[in-house]
Amino acid sequence: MPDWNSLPKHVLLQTFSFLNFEDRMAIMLVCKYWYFCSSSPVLWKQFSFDLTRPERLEAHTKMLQKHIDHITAVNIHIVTELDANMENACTVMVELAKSRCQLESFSLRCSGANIVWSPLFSKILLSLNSLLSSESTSKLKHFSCSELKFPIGDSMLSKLARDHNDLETVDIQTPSTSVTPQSVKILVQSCPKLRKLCASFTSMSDEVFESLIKANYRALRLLSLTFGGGRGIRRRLSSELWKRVVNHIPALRVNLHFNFLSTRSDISSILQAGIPLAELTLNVLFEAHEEIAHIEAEYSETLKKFTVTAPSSAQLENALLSLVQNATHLENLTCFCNLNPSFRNKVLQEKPGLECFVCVTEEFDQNFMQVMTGRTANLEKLKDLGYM
Amino acid sequence: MPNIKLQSSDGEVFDVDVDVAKQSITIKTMLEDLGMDEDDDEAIPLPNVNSAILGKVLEWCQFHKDDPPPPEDEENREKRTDDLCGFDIDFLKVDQGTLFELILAANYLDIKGLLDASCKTVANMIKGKTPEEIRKTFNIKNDFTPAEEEQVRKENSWCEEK
Repeated sequence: MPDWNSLPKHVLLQTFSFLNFEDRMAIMLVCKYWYFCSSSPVLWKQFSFDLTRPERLEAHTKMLQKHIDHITAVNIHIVTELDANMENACTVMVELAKSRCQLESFSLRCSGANIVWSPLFSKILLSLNSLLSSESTSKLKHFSCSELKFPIGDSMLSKLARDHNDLETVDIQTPSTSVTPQSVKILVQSCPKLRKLCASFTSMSDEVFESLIKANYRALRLLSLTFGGGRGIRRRLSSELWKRVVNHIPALRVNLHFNFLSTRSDISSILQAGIPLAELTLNVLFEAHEEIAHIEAEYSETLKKFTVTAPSSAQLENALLSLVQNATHLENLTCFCNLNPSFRNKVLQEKPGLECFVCVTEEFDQNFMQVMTGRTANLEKLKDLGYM
Repeated sequence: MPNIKLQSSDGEVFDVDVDVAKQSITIKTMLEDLGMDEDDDEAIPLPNVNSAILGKVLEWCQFHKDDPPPPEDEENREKRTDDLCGFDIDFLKVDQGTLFELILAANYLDIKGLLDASCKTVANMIKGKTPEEIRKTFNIKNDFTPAEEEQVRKENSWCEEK
């Protein structure tokens, strides 16, 4: 048997860095050397709070207090049904705000039901607000609230924008966002290093794009937008404007996600020519072969990933095959349509290297919808549930 | 494609494609700094790696020689252990002694990808286990006194209840 304790400390640390909180607690009790190694601040720079198990809170809090000044990255995961862990999340955020840590990355995500009506909702927002007002986040580079069950509002985003000028990625792509273009404009104007912005289509406007063009920095590489319906919105962002933005920032790529509320005319008016489209998700309840033909005509040069949920038909299958033939850079095709079993083979014959996932059922029940909500489908989970 | 010769601790000489061998930063640096000539007949001695392990390491390097460079190190990205490729999973299905030797070799030869993959494999062996199960798996002696152990438990508020 090898003597594992003779490994250099940095190798043990690298191994421990792959362990989650619970496992780190366990290795501290193995022997003195492992205790010594696992107390190293290097290991605790990144902290993931899974607050879904209230009985673990004390251990979390103690470790947090022990290493708080070294922490640079925090992920908090809360489950909205458990009041206790919502309280815990607030405590963690307030502790971080009071500490001397310098956060580079902060993300908050929730699972469970919507909590807009919970009294804890405002408490979470208050705690997040105090964290964003503190010195601890003054050098923040990455901020993500993409899977929140409550809306991030204008005041929060304006605060984020005004006091955090080093921001490189901002993800506020919540399903129920209430951020208006006005505050996204402030974000774009005050964060010159912004590389990645994920938001809702409703938060975009011609004015935001104008200010992108006027600003003399060109760091932005990815713009990810979700469209979930809304009247009048689709008239924003003409192809003329897109062309000017691309002229200004040639390296910009765009991901678009259409949710089930999108109508046919929404899609056709948003998907005009000129968008540097890299990823597209089309979740619709109507026959979509015409849309796919349009996508092929306009975006076969840039499209890398295409995900579609639509009623199946022979026309759909043909439109998809034609897209695969002509979209030269397509790397991934995911279909949640009840297609012919031979479809996948046909696709792979056309393009052997393509990642292609095809769903085997069209009976989309509540389980399916739950996995599908949010920006990307969780393929592993879909496989587990027997959809793939 | 030019080849170089590598000599293991037990004297075996391996004839290797330079690009395959250069995944080892240690070897790459030796070639550059020492100005070792590629047509040189002299083998580079690797006194810390025996022939069995060096053979395995070179097999790994051969398979991964066309890998794109690893993405910019995003330090704050969540670390995962379920993203090993199929080759690596099978490659690292070895006895503990071999895994241990591979880690030491990857560390000495400075092959980031191999070190990463083998550390992930060890991490997967730790995951979900109690301290006692971990000790048993890795044959580690508990050198805490009962009082010290109690102290650590208290410090962590840790109770075994898995």
